[in-house]
Amino acid sequence: MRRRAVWAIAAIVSAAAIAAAHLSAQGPTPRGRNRRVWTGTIDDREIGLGLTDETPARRPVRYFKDVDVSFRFVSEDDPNRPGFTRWTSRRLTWRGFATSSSAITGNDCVGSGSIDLGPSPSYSATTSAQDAQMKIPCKSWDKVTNWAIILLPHPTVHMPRIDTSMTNCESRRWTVGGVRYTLAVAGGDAEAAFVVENPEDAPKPGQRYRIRAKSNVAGRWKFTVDSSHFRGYATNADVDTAYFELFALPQLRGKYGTYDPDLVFDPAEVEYERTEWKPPSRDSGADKWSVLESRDDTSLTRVEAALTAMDFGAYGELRAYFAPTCGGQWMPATVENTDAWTVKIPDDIDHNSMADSCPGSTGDDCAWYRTLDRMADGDYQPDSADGRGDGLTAFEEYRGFMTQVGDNCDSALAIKHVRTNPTTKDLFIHSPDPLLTIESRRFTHRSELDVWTVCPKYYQSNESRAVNFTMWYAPAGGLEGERLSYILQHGLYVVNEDLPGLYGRTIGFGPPYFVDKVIIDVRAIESMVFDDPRLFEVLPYIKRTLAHELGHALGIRHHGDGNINRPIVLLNQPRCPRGTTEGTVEGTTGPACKTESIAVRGAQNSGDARCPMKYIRWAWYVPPGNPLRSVGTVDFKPKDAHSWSRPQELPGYIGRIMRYEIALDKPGLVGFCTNADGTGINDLPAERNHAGDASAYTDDYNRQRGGGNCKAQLRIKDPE
Amino acid sequence: MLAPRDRGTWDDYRVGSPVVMKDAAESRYRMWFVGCRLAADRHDCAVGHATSADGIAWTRADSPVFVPPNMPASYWLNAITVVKAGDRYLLWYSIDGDSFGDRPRATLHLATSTDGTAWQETGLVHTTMQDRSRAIRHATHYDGKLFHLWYFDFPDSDHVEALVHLTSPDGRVWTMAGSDTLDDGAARVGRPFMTSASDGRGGFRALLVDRRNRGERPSLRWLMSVDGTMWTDGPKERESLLAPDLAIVDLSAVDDAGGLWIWTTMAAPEKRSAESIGVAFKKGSGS
Repeated sequence: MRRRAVWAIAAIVSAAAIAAAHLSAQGPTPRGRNRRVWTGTIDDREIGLGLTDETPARRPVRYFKDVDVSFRFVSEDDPNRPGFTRWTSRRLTWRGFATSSSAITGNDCVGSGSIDLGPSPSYSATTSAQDAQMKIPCKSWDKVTNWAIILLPHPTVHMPRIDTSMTNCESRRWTVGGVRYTLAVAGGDAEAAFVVENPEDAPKPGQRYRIRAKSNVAGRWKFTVDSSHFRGYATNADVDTAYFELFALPQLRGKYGTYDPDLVFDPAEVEYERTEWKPPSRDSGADKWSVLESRDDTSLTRVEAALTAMDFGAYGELRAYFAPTCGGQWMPATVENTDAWTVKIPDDIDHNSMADSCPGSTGDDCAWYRTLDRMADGDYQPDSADGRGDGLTAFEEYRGFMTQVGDNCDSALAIKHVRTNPTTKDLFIHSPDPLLTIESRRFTHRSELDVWTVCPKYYQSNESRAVNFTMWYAPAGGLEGERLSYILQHGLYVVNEDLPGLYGRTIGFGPPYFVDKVIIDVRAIESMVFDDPRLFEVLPYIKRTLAHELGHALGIRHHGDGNINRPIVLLNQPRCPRGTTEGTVEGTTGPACKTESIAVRGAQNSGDARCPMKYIRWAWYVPPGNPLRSVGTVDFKPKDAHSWSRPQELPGYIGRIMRYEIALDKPGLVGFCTNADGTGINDLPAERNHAGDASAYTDDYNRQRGGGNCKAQLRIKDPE
Repeated sequence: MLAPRDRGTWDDYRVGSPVVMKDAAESRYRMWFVGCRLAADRHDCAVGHATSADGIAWTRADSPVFVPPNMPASYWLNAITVVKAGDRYLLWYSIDGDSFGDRPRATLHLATSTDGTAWQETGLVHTTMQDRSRAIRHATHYDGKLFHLWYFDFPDSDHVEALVHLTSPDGRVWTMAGSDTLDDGAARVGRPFMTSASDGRGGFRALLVDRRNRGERPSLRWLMSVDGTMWTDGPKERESLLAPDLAIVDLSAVDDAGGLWIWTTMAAPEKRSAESIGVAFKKGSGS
């Protein structure tokens, strides 16, 4: 026979009441009205496990719901109906999120708000307009949805369930249908408010936002921050060991990571200074250190705390909650002297997630970003072939870049953060060569771009060269689920290396994405200057060569093509000029002269002599009105050659050349030209005019701009 | 008895899969459980530890005693089992598969400890046999020689789910012993709690939520097996529905104080993932 069994099931979550400590009701209570404040939360969360869609394929479905409601209702005895209660205030605040998706369809819901449902004889009465306001909107991925093949979320702002028989200072928590409720009641009116003292400060790592809070009755406090969580701490910088030294945050070394939230409650502050606080929670994940809560045994009317920014683009909302010692349940605190329940950090009047001001900054101006859409990329100067923009969104420019201002990338003194101007296009360059680093910065004078030099890690690596990698290579959801980047923009890598036969070379052609490397052979340039008694200064030639190659790296072509840079033979010359090799070509009259390095009219040496894209220093040029005419390949025999030696097969030309006046041909250092007109040696009269106007860029685009417009060819924005 | 705590804590959404053992120390009972947190679509889980003098009031540590290492940002720890073998504790924990994360199959991992609070990860010990087995709801038992593992899978790659039985000498390398479809009803039973047969003749007993008979309300039922592979129905203990919106999902049991204690994972039938832990006591030992 089975033994008699007695079961006792105890489940605290199923409507079991927790008796709170009975303390005397605090705060003034209107005489005779039995004014009572009801606070609590409604927590409706769900994760769907093992769900599949309704199709025969039974595709897996992800399903999440998270609706967080806080409320504060005030009741008093109804003077018109003895024995009845009336409700004088009914404030609700909520944040709702839900998503359901399979591989082929989905539905997303998100919404938040607060509302005072106003006076009513019933705590749960609402109007249809209020119901509509409390609705959390959902959007289907499909434009037209005829049927639901996945579980559709219906996030709902549940109304509180209030048992008016509860006695003052009593609190309860219970669960109905998986929805968790808390409710507490206190006699009198608990008022709690908080303020952030310095929300106008733009964020930077280590920036502390000071929080003060006070209440008219004692209790516990809790602050929560809903923070952005961008990778790294600037558009081009990951959190690494140097970060903690750079921003004087040694206490967080090894604890704070590059993917952690951007606004946190620093656990070290709590540990050493604020013993009334529990360690910030959570201790890991996307909400790491986002909650700061009083210890269980505290009962305070005033508290102070600090929120620490860890990122130049940190952005978030701070909320405060207060749990009266009598009553116990958390109620939202208002922002001092307002009806608001949240404080945006930093100040953001125009709601674009960027600080309104940067007081105390060093040249940065957050007014630049005022009213700009955070995804805007509208840099308009200088004018360029790729239109507006430099591949960096307004938010990326606001969040800013770690730039190199000194030689030693290992030194904190060599690194400086800048928020860049969203109206001026930016170019980032790294060079391991100190001289080229300095001269790269000066490229700003010639290009009118804002040019910044960076250490290798600040564009990821010399191979990657990605200047906004923390925004692009990041898990989605840096800020409100949005990636604030639309192009992976690249910088340039400039090196000083040997280049046989050349002074500079660009591996690839602009925009920067396509340019592996810019090579400058500084030693060759020095040799060229030192070996030429007519030249004294080497630096202008280095500047010009660098500007020329950077021009290519930004999509600028030469002023023309066609220079002769290989041995040729000029036929039927009256006599061979000094510097050429005299000889004969069978079937022709007069000497034949072998030479090379001839600047041709309208070719590379043509155009504006002040432009770095113009070639300089050639051996010969073709005077105006007498162009060289090709006669095909000829057999050239030098005058002093042995009779049995074989003739050389070389291209033959008819025409005249003149000695290039190198002394007059200064390196172009003013800036990229804006038209094809020849200047300097290309504007000399008659036969002294070396190469004339530029001939290139006569396509429609450049013709509209006068032709030969180097500046208008600039391409800085990388392809989408 | 043990409910999820306030938002922001590591176990703010789910507290379930309890494993309770008698303890020689002052606390009398110790419990390991799974705690999970959820905020929007971000979620993760860990193993918590609590102690109790009476089995009803529990003191849990603020922080988890074991967080599965090398996990993706979001993951779901489905169930844990703990076995004490000699002076060592062995913890098997199962991680749900995630088709969206390119790991469709559920996995079973092992961690070990000498005190039950400081755990060392050993590694992956088993993966489900089919992609459609996205969860491992497992039970374990140590018979003094071999470790036994049971969970639900599709061993014959057809569509019939079965309770699979595996054995291992060390808890790491598992060998398939066999499986039982439970009269083609394996998909309609809950995660079993396994113990030795009490009649002294060897064999195993399983206590689980049984929903196989569609004409009856779900119940807690004993199953019996001689070899741990083939099972026969035993007596029903009680209905598993505690209230219209609260049902037992699985349980851990201990024979003590003249009766059978069971600590249950409970959840609303419509919201199965939002679990909490309750306790029940049956005077006299289980059937």
